[in-house]
Amino acid sequence: MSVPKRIDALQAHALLARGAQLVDVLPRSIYDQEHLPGAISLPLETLDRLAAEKALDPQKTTVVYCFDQH
Amino acid sequence: MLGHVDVRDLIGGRAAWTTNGMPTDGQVGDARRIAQFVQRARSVSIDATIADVIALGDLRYAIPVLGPDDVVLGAVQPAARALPDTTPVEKAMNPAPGTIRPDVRVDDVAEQLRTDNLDHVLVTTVSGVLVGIVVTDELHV
Repeated sequence: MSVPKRIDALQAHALLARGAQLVDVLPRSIYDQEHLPGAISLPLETLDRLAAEKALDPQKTTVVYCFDQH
Repeated sequence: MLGHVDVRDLIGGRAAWTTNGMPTDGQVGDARRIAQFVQRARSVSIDATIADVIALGDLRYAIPVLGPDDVVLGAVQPAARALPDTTPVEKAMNPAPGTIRPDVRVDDVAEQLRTDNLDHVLVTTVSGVLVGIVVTDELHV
């Protein structure tokens, strides 16, 4: 499994403008309060293959974010 | 991630996004962020002179001095108008003006500005790029 490439916010913005999908892995309650525009909520604590396959296109570039620490 | 061909990790997460002044959605979202109160700031470049500052007109607030890519290198106070026209802003500016990021909450900014008796503050991204200016009297909290 390859390690995700790290990008900054401006690079993320550019990728999203080109059609990348955006995933918020924060708890659902935090997502509901505030999330990046267009982000799909896939909380890390409940994330599994089935949930990812259902919500995401594996062929598209996927940008993942948490809060401010990883 | 789970069979995906191209996965990118946003360094700094959500905070990296908001500190660049980009919007968010949700129940709270941007509603109480200072970004909602930012006004356009008139500015001069680092190679300008006091004559250029004066040419901007009414100077009630500090004028940001910008370098390449609109990064704030300093700020010229209104009192600098009294200097000779040919004075380079580089010599007249405060090289370390106070700034805030666009993602901070308006209530916190308003309290801090009033505590510090400041009538305005410059807003920049985390990289120092000018976003605009916030005027204390415009913060209706």
